[in-house]
Amino acid sequence: MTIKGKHVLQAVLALCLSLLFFVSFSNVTTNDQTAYAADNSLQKVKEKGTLVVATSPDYPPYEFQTTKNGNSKIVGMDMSVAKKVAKGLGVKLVVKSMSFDSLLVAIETGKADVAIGGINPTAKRRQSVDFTHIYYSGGQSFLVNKAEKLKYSSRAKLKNQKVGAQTGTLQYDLAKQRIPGVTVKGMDKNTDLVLALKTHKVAAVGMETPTAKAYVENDSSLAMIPSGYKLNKNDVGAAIAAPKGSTALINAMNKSVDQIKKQNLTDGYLKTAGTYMKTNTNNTSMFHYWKYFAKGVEYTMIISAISVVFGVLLGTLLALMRFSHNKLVHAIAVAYIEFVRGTPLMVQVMFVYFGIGIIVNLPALLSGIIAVSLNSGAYVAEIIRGGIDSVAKGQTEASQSLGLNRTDTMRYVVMPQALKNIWPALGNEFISLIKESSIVSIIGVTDLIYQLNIVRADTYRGVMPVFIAMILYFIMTFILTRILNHYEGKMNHAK
Amino acid sequence: MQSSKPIIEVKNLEKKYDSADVLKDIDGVVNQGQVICVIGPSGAGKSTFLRCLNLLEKPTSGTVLFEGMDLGSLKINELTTLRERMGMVFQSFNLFPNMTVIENLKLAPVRVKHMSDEEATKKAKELLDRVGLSEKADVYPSSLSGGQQQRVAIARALAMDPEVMLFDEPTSALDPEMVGEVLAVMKELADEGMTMVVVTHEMGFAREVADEVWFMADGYILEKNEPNELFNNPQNDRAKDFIGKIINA
Ligand SMILES: Nc1ncnc2c1ncn2[C@@H]1O[C@H](COP(=O)(O)OP(=O)(O)OP(=O)(O)O)[C@@H](O)[C@H]1O
Ligand SMILES: [Mg+2]
Repeated sequence: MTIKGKHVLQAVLALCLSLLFFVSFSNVTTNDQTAYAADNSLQKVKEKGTLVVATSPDYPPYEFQTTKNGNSKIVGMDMSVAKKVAKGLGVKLVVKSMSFDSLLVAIETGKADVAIGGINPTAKRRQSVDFTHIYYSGGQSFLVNKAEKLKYSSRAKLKNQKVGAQTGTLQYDLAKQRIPGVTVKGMDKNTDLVLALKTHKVAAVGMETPTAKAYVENDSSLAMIPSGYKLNKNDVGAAIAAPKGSTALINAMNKSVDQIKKQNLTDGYLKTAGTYMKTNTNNTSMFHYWKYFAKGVEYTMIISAISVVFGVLLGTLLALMRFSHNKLVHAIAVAYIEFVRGTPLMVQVMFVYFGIGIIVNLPALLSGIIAVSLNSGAYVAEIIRGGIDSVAKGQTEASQSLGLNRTDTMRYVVMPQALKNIWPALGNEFISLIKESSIVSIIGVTDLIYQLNIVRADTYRGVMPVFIAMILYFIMTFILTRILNHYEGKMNHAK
Repeated sequence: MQSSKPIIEVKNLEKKYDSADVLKDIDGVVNQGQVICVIGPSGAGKSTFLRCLNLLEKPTSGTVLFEGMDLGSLKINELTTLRERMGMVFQSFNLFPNMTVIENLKLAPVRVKHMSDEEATKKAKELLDRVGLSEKADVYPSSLSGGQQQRVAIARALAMDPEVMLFDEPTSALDPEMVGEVLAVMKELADEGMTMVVVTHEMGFAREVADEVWFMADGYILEKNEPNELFNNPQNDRAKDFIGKIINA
């Protein structure tokens, strides 16, 4: 191993150790927080006067988005439940949207007070969060193609077939455990699963009965069959999740939940949801949804543009640190770059939002921008380093022979030439940011991908919104490429 | 003009890279106003020797004295003060392509000597005039011929008022028809009494201008003599061989 390689390794090891330390330290603080929260969970909500509810609005009829008077809002049965619960507590309802996988993490890390979203209070989930009583039990069904309704008329007939289910859901576990010889294909979104069903990649999709019903009502090529699962009622109904130990809050919410249950209010809620869905599917033309796409484009642009600026600043700093004679400074930069480049952006986004969120509560958009900037900085640092290396050694020597010190040599001689050399590479970085920043949708930043999923869920159209998003991404990158080429041409002129 | 006041004294200079011994036991004195030409085959260590004089390379051992000051003892911030007193001209010109000609000339006076912009501009214009390139002040180096670029490089080094000028094969990268214009500038400089160390294979220049020619091979200085003596009557076998070759070339 070369000396240099050894340094890098040491630095990376050091960084890993300090991260481990950080993580174990932050675990301690969460435990403390939750234990402490046992007393004041209800009081806290009442004091701030809001109940912050996390949800994933791509799951009609439970929760989905609809456009009313040109403004989009989150509606559905769960929203009616949440409204009722908030009213019962005497506070205002604030809805925060994010991906389903992030819901429980969000309440564990204090991003939201409670989570709602057709969440089944399974024993497994009860280990990490607490639940209210069940407010609705929809039962389990399978969605199949109408043409194959007879072929797959019951669960027994799905033996040795491929069955789809949302990853991390009860349906996924049930299919896996209770259909002999089955292959379960897990996907993130029901819209994708239904698409897989219609293209015969799976024979059936396991989902909650009301969801399945909604699909059947909106798509005449689909049909549903009963699941025939015999289930512990506790594991199948939907309940509201709250942080572990927030007994006071749970008890207070249960008052409303019990009322809903007793008076069968969910029937009415579902009916209201149904009318919203009708208006959604009335007009599934993509033009009708242009506002969603426009907002998505706006956010995607904002995130990429801000991130590229901070990415370049951070990248320049890191690149200069790499050239430092100070071994520690050098090692920090190398370790940072290696670490960031060695981990997926998705994990970094979640780490910033949920992990750092334990210490400072950052909004999703800001977290997304920070994570993407921090990520981009590492890549830009390497680009700039390449640019600095690409400046002929003779330039530095000529500058030094004139008596210029290292800083002035960098500033007046090397950097201007390096920046010119790397302009195309920086442009590529910007373009890939536009595409890769799409990952921030998992924490609920309303970028283009996020909006795309909303539109797909609302319209029950699997492909068209994807096509629109593709075109929009292409237009963005295409225009940017033209602009960059224009400036590149100008720079070459100046020479 | 020439005196016997030594400006550069080299004693037992050695330079080693990882495995290779590039300079071995180099001794030499450059007096004020002297022009030394260094010749020798490729790989002899001529560039390395020159670069050890202004510490672009750090000698492995031995001493280099500049006006009696031991360069080995200098700290980083003192290095820049040393270098501003020693101009250097490179084979590949190394003009800064991101600056115009006049900006190339003004950078060091303004940044290092803290000269005012006005003063630096005045000085730069004088120097450009001197190398015959007044009308090129505001163009970028890439639009100049090799010979013009090298004259700008010389002017740029002169802008710092150096006491010694080091030249590393300043005409080797030039088309033959441009060699003359650069040598003419160098000759003029020598006539004005500038102390110069010039690595070159231009025999005519060496004969006419040099006070001494040093022949280097394999990291050693094998022979030092007046140009005519060295070229007409070399003592060392390697020198004989080498001079035979370049005269016949
Ligand atoms: N950074 C370096 N690392 C290792 N070896 C080097 C380095 N720089 C130069 N050398 C070696 O030192 C020897 C002398 O090189 P130098 O450039 O001083 O020769 P030169 O006499 O100037 O030759 P030329 O006429 O080709 O310019 C060569 O063998 C070269 O390969
Ligand atoms: Mg050389």
